[in-house]
Amino acid sequence: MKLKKEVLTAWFFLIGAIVFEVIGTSFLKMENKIFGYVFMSLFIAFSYFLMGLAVRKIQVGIAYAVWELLGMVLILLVSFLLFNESLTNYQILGILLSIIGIIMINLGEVKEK
Amino acid sequence: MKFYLLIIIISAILDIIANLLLKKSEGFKFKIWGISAIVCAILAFFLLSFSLKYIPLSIAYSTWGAIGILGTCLGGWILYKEKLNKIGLIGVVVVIIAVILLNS
Repeated sequence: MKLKKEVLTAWFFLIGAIVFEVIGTSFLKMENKIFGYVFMSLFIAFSYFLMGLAVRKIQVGIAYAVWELLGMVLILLVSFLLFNESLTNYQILGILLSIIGIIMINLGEVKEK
Repeated sequence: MKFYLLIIIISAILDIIANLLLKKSEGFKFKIWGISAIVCAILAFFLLSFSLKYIPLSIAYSTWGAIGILGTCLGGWILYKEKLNKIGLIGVVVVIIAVILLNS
């Protein structure tokens, strides 16, 4: 039971790291550049700290894949909802393909023991 | 090559270095590696911000993430002899097509 609790905590750290990273990245769009960079640095630093704690119990490959995918999906949501960014059809196709491609790469990792 | 794409590639490389350093710190047991990782990551995002003058955040971030994954595969292959099977290799091709489409 003790181990399970540790793994669960690690996943909380990972999700926290992703959320902080997305918030930090969003600050890059701030009008005031200096404030934007300060907030971004704080959030990214804390995000990587949480990530460091998460990979103690979660495999780095899995953590990195979840990070990349969730981060991308959240950034897309933020871009559309907060910043009203618009994309061409080719670009939307590109984003879908990159998500599919990242999943395939992670499925295709050969694990040797 | 488009100028902003070069910025994103360098930023993605910095992020890959940050991730490798983070692995080395073993959950901040070795603080110097952990702190170096954070410094690299902040530099990576700082660089990434310059590309936002030319393209939307959604495109910048997707391209950055995709290149990061390609770099991690390449790094794993060179440093740790990690290999990909057919699905993984097709995935690499799909990601490369995605990056081209994103920046078309």
